[in-house]
Amino acid sequence: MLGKLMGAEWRALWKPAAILFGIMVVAGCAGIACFNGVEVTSGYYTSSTSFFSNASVTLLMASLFCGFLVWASLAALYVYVVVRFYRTMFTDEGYLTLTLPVPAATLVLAKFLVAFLLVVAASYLSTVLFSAMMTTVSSGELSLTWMIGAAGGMAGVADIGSAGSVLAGIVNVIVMAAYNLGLAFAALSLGAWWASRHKVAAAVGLYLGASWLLSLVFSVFGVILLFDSYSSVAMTVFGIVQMAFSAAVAVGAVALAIYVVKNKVDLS
Amino acid sequence: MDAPVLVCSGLTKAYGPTVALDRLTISVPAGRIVGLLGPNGSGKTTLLKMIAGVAHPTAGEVRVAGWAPGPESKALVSYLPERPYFSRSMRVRDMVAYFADFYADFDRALALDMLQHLGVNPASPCSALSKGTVEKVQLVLVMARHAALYLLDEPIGGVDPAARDYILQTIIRGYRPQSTILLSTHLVRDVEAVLDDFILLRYGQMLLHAPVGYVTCELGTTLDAYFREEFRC
Repeated sequence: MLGKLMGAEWRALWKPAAILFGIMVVAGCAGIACFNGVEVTSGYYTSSTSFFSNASVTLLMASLFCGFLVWASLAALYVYVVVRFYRTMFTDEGYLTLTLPVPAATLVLAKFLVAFLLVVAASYLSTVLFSAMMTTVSSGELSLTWMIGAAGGMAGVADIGSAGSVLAGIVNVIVMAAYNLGLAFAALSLGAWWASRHKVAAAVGLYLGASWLLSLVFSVFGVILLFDSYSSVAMTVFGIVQMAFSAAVAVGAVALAIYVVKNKVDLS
Repeated sequence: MDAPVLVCSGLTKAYGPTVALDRLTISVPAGRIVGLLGPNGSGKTTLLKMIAGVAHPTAGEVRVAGWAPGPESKALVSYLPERPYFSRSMRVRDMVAYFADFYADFDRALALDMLQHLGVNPASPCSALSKGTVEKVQLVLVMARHAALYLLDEPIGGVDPAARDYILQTIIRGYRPQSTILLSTHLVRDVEAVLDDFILLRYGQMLLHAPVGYVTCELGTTLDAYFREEFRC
């Protein structure tokens, strides 16, 4: 049943996801081209007319807009899959979903896994596109490897070699996708259960509150760990602990969403 | 009498201080068409939701063929809610495929035949269908299952008299003698001819659970007249 549910989820999501992936690729390529244009036009900057300076500024603005578009497409995909979870579970469409002869855990997991795969793929794509853009504009000072490693947070930028750094980036993208989706699913489920009205607003509040609280915990833990012994090893340990904690939060959040869907939520 | 397909024991549902259903105890045997009758706010929809497993009782329990609400009971129950639950982005044939995928008792050929009879093109997007047609398509999908228990929530509420006839014909056409239909409505006159039994609800409490013959033979009146007298404002 998990496979069938994932198939149904995929059929509902692939078209909007393909559009957003397409926008990301086009915007990313345009951004790289614009950044290259900035490099070229800025070479004529001192010796020539305002044409080149205007062109340089215009291309810079265009490249920043392209970068924003890549980020916005990623955010839109994330919002779309989360909204779909809410719509198909807790609105009128829930009458179709929640009457299927399937355990609640399978329902939530199917939606989570498809959303997770799409968000992870989009996150990797955006990371590569941003990295390529930044590598272009930094004139070789930043490498693609370093940029992907930077996606790994503390562990990624610590002195652990380029392979370790890239691995940290790859793992962190997976963990953060699960963390954010898990928190969103749990917040929406709790909002649908607790709030008699304005369920979405309640869910957004819960999500932001939980995210803020967990970030605070990470920060306090980081300060305590790194305050006395700021070193590459400490940074790596902190990064790994942060990833492990985020993964644990993701698992707990999905388990909470399953529990609430199975035992608490009433469709209105 | 056949073994009960549905048993509710002390079933209670409260939304905050409001009690929607109050210690309801019923037992419905297999092979009956049962009308769930009562005015608005009497707890009909709440009861059907709890049987279907989309709402949780505050107290008491529901059993469908011995199963508490869950995957096993949902495989036996075919539920038509009051509201349209189609995703507007899907086509009718997608919905047919969806039901065929998830319900082992779904009869695809019967569904397509009923859709053809209704004049609905399976390639039509749900967003292009009128509200009345969406309701009919939903009913077709629900009745095309060979379920043990059908829960039909106000299937004839809010539609014109001609559509009511079509809907009732569809229900009767899809009905199998070994199945049970629990049909909620307050349009008693339209359904009384097809009912075997009725359950009368008021303010979340059961007033009466009896065969229709009790009203027609013993009280010498129609179910509709009895209902009007009982719930006169």
